[in-house]
Amino acid sequence: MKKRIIAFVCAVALMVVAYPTTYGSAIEPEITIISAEIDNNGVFEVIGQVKGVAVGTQVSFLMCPKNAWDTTGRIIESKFKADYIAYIDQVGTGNNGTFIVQGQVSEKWENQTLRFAGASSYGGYYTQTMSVPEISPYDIDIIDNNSVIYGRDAYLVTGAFYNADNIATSIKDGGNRIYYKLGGKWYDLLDPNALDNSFLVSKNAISDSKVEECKPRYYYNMSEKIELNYN
Amino acid sequence: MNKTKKNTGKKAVTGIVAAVVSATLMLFGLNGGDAIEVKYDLVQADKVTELKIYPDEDVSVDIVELYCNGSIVTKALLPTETLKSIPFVFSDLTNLELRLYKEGDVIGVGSFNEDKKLYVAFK
Repeated sequence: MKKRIIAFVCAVALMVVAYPTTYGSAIEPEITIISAEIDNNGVFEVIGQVKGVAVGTQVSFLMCPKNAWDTTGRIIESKFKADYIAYIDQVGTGNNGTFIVQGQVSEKWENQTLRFAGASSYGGYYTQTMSVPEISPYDIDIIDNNSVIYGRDAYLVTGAFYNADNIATSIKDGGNRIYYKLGGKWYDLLDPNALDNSFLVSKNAISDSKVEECKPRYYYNMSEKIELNYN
Repeated sequence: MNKTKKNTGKKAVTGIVAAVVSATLMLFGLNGGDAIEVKYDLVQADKVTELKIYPDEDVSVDIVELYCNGSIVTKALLPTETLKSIPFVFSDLTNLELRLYKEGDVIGVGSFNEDKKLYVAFK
């Protein structure tokens, strides 16, 4: 937890430095957005490109409500604080300068238009808006594909919390249960017929109600621990 | 962490695999081309398996998506990231498919043959 706080503080400090200096000016290299999507769980994905930079170039990413930006697209300094930050991150580029930002905004931002912006460590700047839909309740529907329920908790396999120690605790608390989500459907991997991945087809899926019966306690996504509700 | 597989094949053309992936290529309006063997590493640990592919640098793939039985599992940014999922997803490689992107466009589709070799049909 302490490491995460330190990382957040460092990221904020970097943004404070980066944004006023790169903002609004036509600095090369050019940054473009290839796609930007958000679902009704608040989970978003932005794929962009910084042209002409090396693999590993750092891209800072900031998402705030529209009223945190001035008319020229500059972040308003007095609003550069936690209450106005919907999401902040820093990612590295791959081939062709391509980068992916994946995250989630809280229900606090539902039905609002957010503006996101970014700057690369070699200069360049982009800004674009994204409308957040009504956010669904935090129940099992928010669990992403490629996630597993072990015992009482759900984990995104690519997430930071997915490790043997955490999984062991979840199984200890909730019993030996392994449900895997793929294509929006759940599969019981302890089913005697689950011999290999050919089992992962719709006809073998279990119902959502069976998953809800076990009342998963937390969902550990990419970087957050989310308490699930059952009202 | 145990490395279970390292495939270091050379370029080749396989009719069967090319036919399979060409069906997906057609979904993207691509004609498909020769299927080329692509190197990969499959690294298995206790709870996770990682697939890393090594397409030629000159094709400049930036994002790769992993599909199992037609459903997307995960994606990764190349050359730095790996495709991660539970070991069960990789239990039969022939049920997997890869879609390779460059600057937002699909430029190749890959699948594994019975010999666990990965072939990609590029645009």
